[in-house]
Amino acid sequence: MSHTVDPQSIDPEIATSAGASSRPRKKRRTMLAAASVWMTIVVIAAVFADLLPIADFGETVGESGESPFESISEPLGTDRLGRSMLSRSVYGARVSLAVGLLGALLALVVGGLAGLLAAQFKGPIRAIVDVLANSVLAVPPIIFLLAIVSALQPSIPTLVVSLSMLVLPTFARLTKANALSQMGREYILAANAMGAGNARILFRELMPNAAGPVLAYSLLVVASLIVAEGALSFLGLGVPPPYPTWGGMIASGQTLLAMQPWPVLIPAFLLFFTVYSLNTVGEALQQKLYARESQM
Amino acid sequence: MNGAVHTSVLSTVRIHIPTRGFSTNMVRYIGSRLLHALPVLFLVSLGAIALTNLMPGSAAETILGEFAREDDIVRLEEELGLNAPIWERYVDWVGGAVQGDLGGSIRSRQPVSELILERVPITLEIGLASLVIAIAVAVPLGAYAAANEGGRLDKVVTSLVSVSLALPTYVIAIFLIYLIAVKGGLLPPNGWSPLSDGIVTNLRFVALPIISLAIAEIPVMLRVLRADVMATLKEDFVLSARSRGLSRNYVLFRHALRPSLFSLVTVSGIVFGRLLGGTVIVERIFSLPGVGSLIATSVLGKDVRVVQAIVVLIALLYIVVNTAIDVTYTYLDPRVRGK
Repeated sequence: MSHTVDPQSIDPEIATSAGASSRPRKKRRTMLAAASVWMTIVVIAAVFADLLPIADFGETVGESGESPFESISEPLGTDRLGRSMLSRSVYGARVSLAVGLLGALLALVVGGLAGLLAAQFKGPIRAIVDVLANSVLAVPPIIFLLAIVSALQPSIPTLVVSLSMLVLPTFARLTKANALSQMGREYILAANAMGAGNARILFRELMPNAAGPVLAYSLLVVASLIVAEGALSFLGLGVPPPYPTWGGMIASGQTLLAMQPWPVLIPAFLLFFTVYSLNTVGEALQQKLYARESQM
Repeated sequence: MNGAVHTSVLSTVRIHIPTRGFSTNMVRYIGSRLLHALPVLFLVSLGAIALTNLMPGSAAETILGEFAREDDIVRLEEELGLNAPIWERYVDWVGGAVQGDLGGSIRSRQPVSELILERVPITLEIGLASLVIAIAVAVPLGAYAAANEGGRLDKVVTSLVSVSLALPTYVIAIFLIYLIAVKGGLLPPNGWSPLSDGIVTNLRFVALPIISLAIAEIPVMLRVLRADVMATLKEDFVLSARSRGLSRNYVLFRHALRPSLFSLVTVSGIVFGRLLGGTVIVERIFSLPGVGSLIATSVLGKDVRVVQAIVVLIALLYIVVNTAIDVTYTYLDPRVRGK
């Protein structure tokens, strides 16, 4: 019996694919390798965007809607304003990753802390954490985001905060559930018997042991935040133009989809590859973790 | 701990409807669920009304833009009661809301309740239709895949599930528009025609939105169902039915499927939430005049009254549906009630 709590029992939307185990091991390993390579490329491109030999994302480099794979200088073609699709894709990756990673990190820290506190202190603290978490979860994610964005001016910091609020309750619940399952174990009892204070038990005993599953789950959260950021940008509520975002590129190209499909299809494929890769790596991490836990 | 283990226990217990002690227990349970829902609904509605407090600087100025005239700003502040403290505005709003008065839209000057009501049918149509299609596809496919674990169909289904889980609704919709409307020329890429103008034209416009929504919901259902049917098929009663000479398909659909459908009830809350969010995206992409596109345009236009009303109504609906799901679940499994 493993002592970790499956995130899926907290939030079934999490992509812990039940079918992964039936896939042949070799194929799974290839997929995992491909996913890792893709994520490495995206991360490097996003981090070093300014150093890469690509045009500025706002600069006109050619005709409107040049097809990809035709010229060497613009391998991904141009959008309808003649701007480099390669450059816009790379800078768009920067927004997606920054918002996804920072949002997940913020939610991990704040939600994790709230979850630990709720596990350690029964009574009012747990009740407050529970009610707050339930209130956020009582509004469907996109509606919740829309409500917050309607009040705040869109910018990277406000996006990070509102996206993190979206997943904060799940982190809190997951940490709480994991911490509670650790509570009954002997080492906590031993720490208590030795007279350890609340803070010591929380941060030195509970946290390191409850952190594993929560961390493994974080990659899947990054993926879901990238999807949510894309949705907001698509609705025109993300990082404002001219700064490129994948969702914004899809939305602005949609009217010309019939004549110039590539400026829409390229960001759509980028989003898909990135989310799929994050899910694949995240799932592999989780499985590894559970396998280790259940061997104990 | 995961779905599979959990139902294998369930399926050994025959689902029966208890006759004695039902009413008082059940009423008490429903009562406690509703009691739990109240503080949540209170916080959500308070949060929705407090949205104007979140706006940086003067809310009226944010709404009207930086070039607004001074007297317009004063008038809007008056209209929204922005000078009153939050609790006063909250009591006012709730007082109006329970009588069906949600205030007036700042942009269109129409009553908010009217704006929402005339758009409900469209959202309802695409939502319900996509749900029906998703269930009709996911249930047989999930059962077959589970019955032939590791087989060709199962492999296709599991890879399709992980692919579609990585496809955001707006990407699904774009691919569908490109393939079916642009390349195939089979259906219009966007637009809307009311049901009163004939069902065929209406269906031509709503077909792609409905399919997009269904594709987003299917993997969630499929995954849970497949895992559960797989667990149920390992039960003794399945073996005994097979040994009595009943065919594989008969056992699958008449014996194994029903106890496995159980978990679909638990994910239906998530599916419902995805659906509500999905309609916002899909209605925008396909320019359908539903509630989803109403909230999207209202957020863009900072039409707070409309945003507040829709957020509270959707939260209310969502809470009611989730409570109903909890109750159904308890009704189906007497053991949950004891906890």
